[in-house]
Amino acid sequence: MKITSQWLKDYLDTSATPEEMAEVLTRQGLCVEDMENPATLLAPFKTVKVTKAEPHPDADRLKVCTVDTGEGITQVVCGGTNARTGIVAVLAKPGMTIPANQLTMKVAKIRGVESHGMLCSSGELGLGETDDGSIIELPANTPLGISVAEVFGIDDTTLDIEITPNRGDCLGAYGFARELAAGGLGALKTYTAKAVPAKIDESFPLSFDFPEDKKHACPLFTGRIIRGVKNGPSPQWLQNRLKAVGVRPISVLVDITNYLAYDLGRPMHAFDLSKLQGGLTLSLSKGGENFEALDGEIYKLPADAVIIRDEKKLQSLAGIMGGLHSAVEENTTDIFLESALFDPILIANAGRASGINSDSRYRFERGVDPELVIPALEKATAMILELCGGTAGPVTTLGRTPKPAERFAFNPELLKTLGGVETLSQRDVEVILDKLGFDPKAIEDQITIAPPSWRHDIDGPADIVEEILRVKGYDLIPEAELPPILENDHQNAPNILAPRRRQLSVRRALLGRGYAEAMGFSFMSDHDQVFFGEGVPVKNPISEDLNQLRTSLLPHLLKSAARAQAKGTAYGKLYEVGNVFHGSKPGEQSLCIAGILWGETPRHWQNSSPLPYADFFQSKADVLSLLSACGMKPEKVSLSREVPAWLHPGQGARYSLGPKNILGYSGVVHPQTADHYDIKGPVSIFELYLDQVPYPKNTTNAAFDLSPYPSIERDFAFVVDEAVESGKVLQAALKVDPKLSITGDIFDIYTGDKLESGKKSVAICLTFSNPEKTFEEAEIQTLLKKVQDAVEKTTGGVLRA
Amino acid sequence: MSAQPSLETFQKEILSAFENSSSLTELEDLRVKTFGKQGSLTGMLKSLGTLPPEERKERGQELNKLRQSLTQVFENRRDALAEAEMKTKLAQENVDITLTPQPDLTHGSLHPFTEAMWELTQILVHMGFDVAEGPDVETQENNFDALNIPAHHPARQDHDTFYLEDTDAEGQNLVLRTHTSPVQIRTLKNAKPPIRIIAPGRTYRCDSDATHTPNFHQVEGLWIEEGITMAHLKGCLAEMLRKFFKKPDLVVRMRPSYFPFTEPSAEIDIGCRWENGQLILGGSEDWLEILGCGMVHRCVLENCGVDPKKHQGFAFGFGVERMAMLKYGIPDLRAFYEGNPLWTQHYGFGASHAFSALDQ
Repeated sequence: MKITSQWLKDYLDTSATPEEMAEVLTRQGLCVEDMENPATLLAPFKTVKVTKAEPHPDADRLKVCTVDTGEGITQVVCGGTNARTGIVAVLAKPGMTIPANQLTMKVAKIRGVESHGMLCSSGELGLGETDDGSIIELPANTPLGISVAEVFGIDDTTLDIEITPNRGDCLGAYGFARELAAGGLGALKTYTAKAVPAKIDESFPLSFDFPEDKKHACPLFTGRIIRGVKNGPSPQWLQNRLKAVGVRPISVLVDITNYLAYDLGRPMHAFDLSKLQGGLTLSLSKGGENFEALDGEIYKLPADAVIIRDEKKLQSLAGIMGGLHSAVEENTTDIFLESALFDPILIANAGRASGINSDSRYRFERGVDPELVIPALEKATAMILELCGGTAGPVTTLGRTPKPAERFAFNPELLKTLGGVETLSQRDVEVILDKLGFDPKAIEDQITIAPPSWRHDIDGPADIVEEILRVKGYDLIPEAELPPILENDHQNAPNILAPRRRQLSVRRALLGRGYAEAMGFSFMSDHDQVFFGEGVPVKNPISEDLNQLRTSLLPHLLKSAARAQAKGTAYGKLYEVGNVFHGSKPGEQSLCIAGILWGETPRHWQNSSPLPYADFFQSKADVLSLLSACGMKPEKVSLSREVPAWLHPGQGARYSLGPKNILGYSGVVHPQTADHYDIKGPVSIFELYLDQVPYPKNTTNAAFDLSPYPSIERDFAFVVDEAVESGKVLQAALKVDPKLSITGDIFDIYTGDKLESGKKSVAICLTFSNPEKTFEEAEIQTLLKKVQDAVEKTTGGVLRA
Repeated sequence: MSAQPSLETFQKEILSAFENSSSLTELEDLRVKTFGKQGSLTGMLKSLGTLPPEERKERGQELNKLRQSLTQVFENRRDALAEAEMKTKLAQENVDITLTPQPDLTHGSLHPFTEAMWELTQILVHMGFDVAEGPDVETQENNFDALNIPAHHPARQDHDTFYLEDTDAEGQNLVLRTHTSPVQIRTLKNAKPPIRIIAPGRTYRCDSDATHTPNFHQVEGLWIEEGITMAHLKGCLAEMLRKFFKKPDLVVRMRPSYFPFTEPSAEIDIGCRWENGQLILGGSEDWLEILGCGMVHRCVLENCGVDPKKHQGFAFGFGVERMAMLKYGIPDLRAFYEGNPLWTQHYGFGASHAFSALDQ
């Protein structure tokens, strides 16, 4: 919402500067976001007299003008159609920048004739729109050498103020003036309307046609006929004010109704009387009606919009926008001027459903002052009679002004108990409330107040605390320490704490594994559905790329990796921790961690071929490390080859606890998936469902218990069928004696000439440790035999000769 | 008496051989030849027994002296040779220290958002808040109506809400929560005062441009307890901001504002200034709007079955990405969501600095 400081002074007796006004408004909750005075920009553009204008020797349309600046004579080549000897114009000198196009003037030769600047058009100075190629032509008696800002009377600062939705009363100059007066910046000039006497005895028939339960749709509707007006462009001051607040001047009749919206915050409407037939009836739309609005668009109306019809047709979407048919035009001579009150909820609903935004809707939605319905009509009438002539009829009134809000009691003690401020006296409180129009009456230590007609947002004592504190400034509120908390006062639910800790643990784990963290939107596209299933559709997606809730974190990681790769990041690791959605109801989401690793390690003098980087085993290592970060023993997890379509069927694994509880997947990306996302080279991914991994029950460590006796290490090589999973050989060996601690790993896999075809050799190294005693040779032999038997039993493997 | 000169000669010869030996191996040979079982000196000592007793003693003393001196010389020579040989060996083992080590593939980095979110929640948890959570998909009731934002409320239109096709039990479209405030509703409906929670989480607005992403994150705060006033709210937020930005002198300003779910409502600004287009926190030359807050509106309490005559408290909410941008000097919000590993490495936190909330 914009307003100018001069406009405010129509209602405020003050010597305050715009800066002081901005400070007070901001302090009171009307945050001034920007301030601008066009005069500052226009100050260097000054009036000059064209003492001589002669045709350019080399160009038909140009004139060579001798110009008197009041300080000296200069020469300017000008293309203005009206450039001629004797006129007063506006000069842009070399070095000055033209506001409209940001061009800086230079001394130039135009077709061989030197030009020291330019005579400006109003468009070039942002003063109006001209398309006839003419330059500004001022009255002959305009003094020379004065700023164009002064000539046009635009030395006025525009304040751009953020208005919160509760402050409908501050959508006009009058409301701001009241705020500034309350804030101590001068005295409010209370507006009292002078009734314009009726000179003609003619009223336009008005009627309501609302169902019994919707009478509130329009509590009050007033209007009058004005005949014999002359429409046309508004006077400069009116145009300037409207332009300063961002409203385009149209014609004086339209401008006056717009002016009232920004002046008293009162939207109004003028109908061209000659286009109306019979009378006006207010009713509610049934829904589906077509309405041709004065912006030229046709809107389909929702049900329960307040509409105004004459005998023939729909003439206005009340409180939102007038109709094209009865819109005021250049040649309009007779009007019906409307000022009314509409229900904010009905206006908001109709506005939202029809999609029409207007200054009028904006104000009615936020609530206008019911007490200003007739004063605004009188003010607009007076302006019309003054600027357009004509004679006014009597004011016709339908309905009545709603009852004012009831008084309620306010206990000033609340300033302390709610506001935390102990330094205000009852007198302070009364003065502020009085200036804000709350009519305070003190009864002992209580105050009763009446919310003013323009404040629809006041409905309880907490509001009054805010009113008083905001006028005094929230700086008055001290910073207090929070009360201490007893340890058993905490309500930390374990079901929240444990997952939060887990998010921390898994991130820490990946920090040490070379992963950079990514963060994606919660959305994905149809393109992602191909591999990751259908997501919950969003009704109003921001784009087709983001039209459903994600089912996996992987699409974003795949796209990110592809992007990074395309930009030249040859290898990398990315992960994300976030929610995915498996249903559309609240809570049908689960926490995941997913990662992607791509490319090869760079060549290095110490190893000429790349180290393992983006293969299945790296992704497996990541998953096992994450499971262990979740407090799970990796050996509890079972692996299977049942993997989703996005994984390489031979180089992917499913991780589960038993057959049902799937914890996640990892492996090499399926070549089709890689292709789908435009990724090249080796790429592996993993995704773990963090909510599926059980939380460890006991977090205390078992005592450190290293056997004091020497351990023994033995190598074995077993020949098994090639189809046998090598891990089974190791697993069988590790489990041979639960009383011992056995660790080990596979250190070689061999297939080739030295073996029967279809066979492979799996070489393992085992370390045995006994917590109770030193191994004796006989025991060792038994142990080795046990290993041999166990491996043979589970895998058919025989000890390699 | 012929042995006298030969002993001197012997000593000279051996000494010279020791001194001239050029390697530990050669020296070792000499040692064996001299002191070994078959060594010359050993032979001489052995032959002592053949001498008459009167000569034996004198000869014995001479030979012992000789052995001591030869041993000393031998040991000196051995140490010198050993040191020289070590030097030579080490000199041959030189590496080119200008060569690079293998690239470190274990250095991960934490997204600056995560660091900021962690720091903020840690600070607040240390101040006494517990953590609460709520779902991303919400009912309009929880996201709006219960928060005193009915369907026609102008504030509701400012929310740029994402709707799902699916509906709740009342036939209202489900929404993606536009703020973390519905967690206030969920908490107030289920817990008994005193209530002190923060609700960090993801929020959604149907808006996307240079300064908006369709989802972002907020931290909501709610403290309901007897005697809680706006002064506590101001103190709490000032402390949080000063700790987060690690600026004990940060100027924190409270300014009136409006939210349907608080009354009185306020906006918190922090003091700052601009230097060559660069924002610098501190001072009070200019102000930066940073969060919204207020005393919980009685309608919100009533909607959740909490008696506003008995209970009051404050609520606040702020955007986490913005806090991260301000603290770490990140100019572009959209980059948060681009998944560029180099960006994360640049603005993010390695293992040595990650999760450093409340570090001094």
